[in-house]
Amino acid sequence: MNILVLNCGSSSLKYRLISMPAETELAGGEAQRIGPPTAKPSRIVHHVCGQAPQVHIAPMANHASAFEQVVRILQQTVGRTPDAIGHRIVHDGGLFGAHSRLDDKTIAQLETINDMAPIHNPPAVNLTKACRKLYPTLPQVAVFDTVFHATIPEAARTYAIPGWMSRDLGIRKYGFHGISHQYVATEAARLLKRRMNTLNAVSCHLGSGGASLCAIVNGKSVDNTMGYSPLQGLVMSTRCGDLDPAIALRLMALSEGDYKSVEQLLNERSGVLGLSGQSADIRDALAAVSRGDAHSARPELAAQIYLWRLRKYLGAYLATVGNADAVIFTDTVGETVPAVRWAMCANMEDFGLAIDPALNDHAGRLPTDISAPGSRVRILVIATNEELSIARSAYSLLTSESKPEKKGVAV
Amino acid sequence: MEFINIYQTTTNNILQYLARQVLSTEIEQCETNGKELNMYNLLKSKNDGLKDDLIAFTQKLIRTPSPSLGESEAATLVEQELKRIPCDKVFRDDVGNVIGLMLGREAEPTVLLNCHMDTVPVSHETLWKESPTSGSISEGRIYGLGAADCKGGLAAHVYTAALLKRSLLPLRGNLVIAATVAEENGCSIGVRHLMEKTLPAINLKPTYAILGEPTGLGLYYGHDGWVEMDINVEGNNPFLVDDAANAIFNEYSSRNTDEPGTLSLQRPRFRNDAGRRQATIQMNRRLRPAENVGSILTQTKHEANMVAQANGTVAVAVAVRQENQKLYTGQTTLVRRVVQAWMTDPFHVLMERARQALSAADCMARPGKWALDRIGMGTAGSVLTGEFHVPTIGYGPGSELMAHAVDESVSVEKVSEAVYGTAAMVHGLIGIPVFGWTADEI
Amino acid sequence: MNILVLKPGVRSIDWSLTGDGTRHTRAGQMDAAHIDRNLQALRGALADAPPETIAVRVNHGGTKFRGPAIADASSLAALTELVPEAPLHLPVVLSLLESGSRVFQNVPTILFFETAFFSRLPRRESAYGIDSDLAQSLGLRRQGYHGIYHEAASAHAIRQLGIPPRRARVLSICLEPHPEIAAVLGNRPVTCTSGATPLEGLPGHTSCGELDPNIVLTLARKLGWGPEQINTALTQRSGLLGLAGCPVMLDDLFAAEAADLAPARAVLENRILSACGAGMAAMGGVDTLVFSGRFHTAAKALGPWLSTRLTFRGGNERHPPRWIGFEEPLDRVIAERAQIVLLESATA
Repeated sequence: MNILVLNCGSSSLKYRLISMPAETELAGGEAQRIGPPTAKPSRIVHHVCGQAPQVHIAPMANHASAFEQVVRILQQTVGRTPDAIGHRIVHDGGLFGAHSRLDDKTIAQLETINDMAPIHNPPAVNLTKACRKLYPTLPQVAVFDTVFHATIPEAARTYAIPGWMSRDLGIRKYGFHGISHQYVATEAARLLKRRMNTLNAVSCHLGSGGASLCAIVNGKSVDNTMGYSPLQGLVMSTRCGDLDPAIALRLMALSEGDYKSVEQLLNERSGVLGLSGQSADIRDALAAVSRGDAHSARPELAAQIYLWRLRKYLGAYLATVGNADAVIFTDTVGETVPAVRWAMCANMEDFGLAIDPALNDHAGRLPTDISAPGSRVRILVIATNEELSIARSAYSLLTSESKPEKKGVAV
Repeated sequence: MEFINIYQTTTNNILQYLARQVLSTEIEQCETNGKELNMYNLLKSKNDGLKDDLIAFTQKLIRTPSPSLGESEAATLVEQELKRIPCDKVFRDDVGNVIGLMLGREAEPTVLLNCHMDTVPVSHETLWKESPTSGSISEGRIYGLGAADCKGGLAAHVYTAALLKRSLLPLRGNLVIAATVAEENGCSIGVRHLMEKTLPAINLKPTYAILGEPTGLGLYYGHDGWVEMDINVEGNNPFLVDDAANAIFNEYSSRNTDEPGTLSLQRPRFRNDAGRRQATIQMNRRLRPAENVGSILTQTKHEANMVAQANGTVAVAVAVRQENQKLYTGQTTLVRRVVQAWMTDPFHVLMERARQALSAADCMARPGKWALDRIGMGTAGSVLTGEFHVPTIGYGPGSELMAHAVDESVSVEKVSEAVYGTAAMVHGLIGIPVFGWTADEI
Repeated sequence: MNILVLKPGVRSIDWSLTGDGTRHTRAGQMDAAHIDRNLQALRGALADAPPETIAVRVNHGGTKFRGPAIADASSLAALTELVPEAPLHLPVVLSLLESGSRVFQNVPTILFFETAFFSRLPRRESAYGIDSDLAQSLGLRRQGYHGIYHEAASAHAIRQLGIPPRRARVLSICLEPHPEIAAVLGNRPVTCTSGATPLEGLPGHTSCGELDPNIVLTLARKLGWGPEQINTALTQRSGLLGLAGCPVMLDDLFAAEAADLAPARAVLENRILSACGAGMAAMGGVDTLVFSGRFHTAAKALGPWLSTRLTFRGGNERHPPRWIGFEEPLDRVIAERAQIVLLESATA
């Protein structure tokens, strides 16, 4: 079965055509600058596996027309049309609780929760509608970031707010980056030769933009540093992470009740960018510090706060998990910045965790284990592959549907 | 002595016991709304403590007659009360407005609390059950001329300053309490002077204004206006002039029955001057928010001419009435008798923040507009919004129906609630936010 | 020496008088509205044992007060400048000090700040992930609000440990209506659960504790609420009250028979465990847990559980963290510290 995985950005569309269950990637690419014409034309950077990427220029007013172009290019280059589509959708709003087949009813349900992820959900949901119109019979699956966190127990997902707020407004911890956390946890179980449902781990998805830690017990998420929205938790590139609610209130009062400007401030102009005053990329701050730049005081502070918050959460989740088998690092920063892994794992022997400095500095080919020989907890660096994770989830859903009597075997 | 519970026992026991006592009361209080230890309940309890003084002051204000242009005595009373609070600064300006200032830690924003001190002349005094200056209280209401319009509101503004002072809550911005002269008779002479001269001289520009005019504690955001016109008819032939004037009068009288509440007019007055016959019809006309005075005058002149020309050649002129007024300070001012319609956007940040603060304080926040059913009424909002572009709302204890009415009265409870509600709004606008810090017990 | 300890709140002021060498104490509460009159009455009531020193507990001293301070013109001026940071509490403190200097003339008054212990919190812990200029201009930084307890309890715990204080790693868990956990590394705090205000951190009796900041904005958007309404909901109708739907106190929550409170208890335990794990990571381990505050008795349930949960195979299993209780009430702690301050100033 060839599954086309679609991952919508606000003005981009990433795609992969993956043959399942072989997990062979046939082709992939990214449609860029979707939307009204800009100075640079919208284009698709496409590659067929084993070949050099090609650039296709085509006007793409919206994600639907980008999707049409992608299908056309796939037909031309690979000569295949997809057998199913797997959509990455950030938020299930607590309505689904599982990755789900998309039909008119589920799409309509999805539209009701657009306001819970106002930046991420609407383009993806619109795309599902367009796909359904173009290929009404093609099976489509929504794979949600929040679904892996549906297992977070009530004690961890409940905020200590009046009960009616949680019930009526759906205010609770949802957690994000679930597709990635699930993927790297599955890979970690494979590496450690354990069954996924016995794996205890802390997974650190450290992206160049968003970042979150996930506590995993018996292969299930039991906590995530992100909360009701992706704003909570770690210091991120432009998001503040944890903040005294009274500060948000104070900022709101000072802007005379204009919550939108506060939302923007905390989401887009805080985090590493707000702290360093220079760059939203933590790698820039770390580089400035190690170069000893003349104006490195603010980047240094940004780095300190970023790393300190990470280390604290690693400790928090190691305590939550109990005796973890592994700490997993993934995504851009997690995979490529040894200084971050070091700051988190050094001097953590009391947790049963010891990092090998040399292995850490030269992680090389992923996946790899960078823990010191005596460390009971393995420290793994694993490249994430959200598209494959989506394809797996979609495939598993579609095949279990067609053969309800046969249960899927884990890993 | 206001001590409670003096115990003598061993430290551990009693402190644990005390802790328990303090806590259990706190927790119990959390169940029942209004007893939680937050800023609003602090304000509420302090306000209760001020109530007797507030009501006595309201009565004293009512007992002190303050006809337009004769506000001197009432001004003294307000000045003394503001000094007693004490405000950071209290003074009178050239036209006799009384100004009290509470200065915040920053230069901005500034909230103006404005009420006029003057009252309209007593109408139908014989119909009043008691003297219009009795200030007596019966069945929870204070009676007397100006009780609703707007000495109740004025007292509430003065005590808003007292309440904020008493609560020890620090302010970020500045509070100006301005009791102004010559509103009822003078088309906001007092407020205009306040905004043109008095406040600029001390480098204050109000960011927002709250009027204490009667709103029944609703949040009002505007009203229609009115213009007083003189329709002058002049000619050589006395009979034709009289006919024309009467025809104009009859025309507008009949319109007034078609559209009640839009016009009011008086019978023509006639006189002879240097061989010419002159007639004047005084007409007041309601101004809707989109209407402007100039076009109303032109339109009226056209209409009056049409009616008059049918009766022969006479000259018709229409002008806004003007008069010289002598203030209690002795100053003389020329007054154009126009009140512009005004409206603050009901979704303006001032309305929103006022509504939110009132809701947080557990007060009703009911938006509305003054109906101004009788012609000739208005508020300083016209001048504040139209001429000085200060977003303005109204929040006062009196009822609009009571303004200028026989047996005018205001509810004692409402006056006290107005103090609390106004303080909550002022704190929302210029207070230093009290977030996160709430409970007595940290 | 007779030491009068005053703990001003918003509407009332707790007082207690600690006498010489005995544990006999008189205590009570007075209305904060008429401080002059009430203090005079107090002076009368204490005529047989006139206070020789007054110790005032102050909730907030920001970065200006890094230790106890004598109440004088300069400390009052500094305190006045801090009013915007604790606008509900500091004005009462200021008027108390003003009245106190009139009523108890020539009685030295020492200020003890709950925040002083945290004034040396490392910046990586005290700073938020927001624009540093904005944070600076609004004075937004993390600190704790039970510093007097944490300082005394952790010192006590270190003495019990018998290891060099510099190396001691203590998790100090203060069980008050607003509970607070601090990691103390050799007498110095390195983490604290509270924030720029006492609202952040662990859920309290009625306060929400840590929250996705987006929730505040969501309440504004969905309910049309202003910051004041949201504040009331989050500070007074949340926490254990919000979770359990009825008022709950910490010691009841951790009492064995409280089955109906299990969900609320599970939430709090989850947060406490996370905070302890974070503190442990901050210190690179933990030697002892110490419980203080008026609900320190809950340590009987929390101590063994936490100690087990903070023991890791292949890690600290050979030296699992101990736990102890610190039972001294706050007045006593303050009175003792006042004695020390007086002794120190006398020798200096």
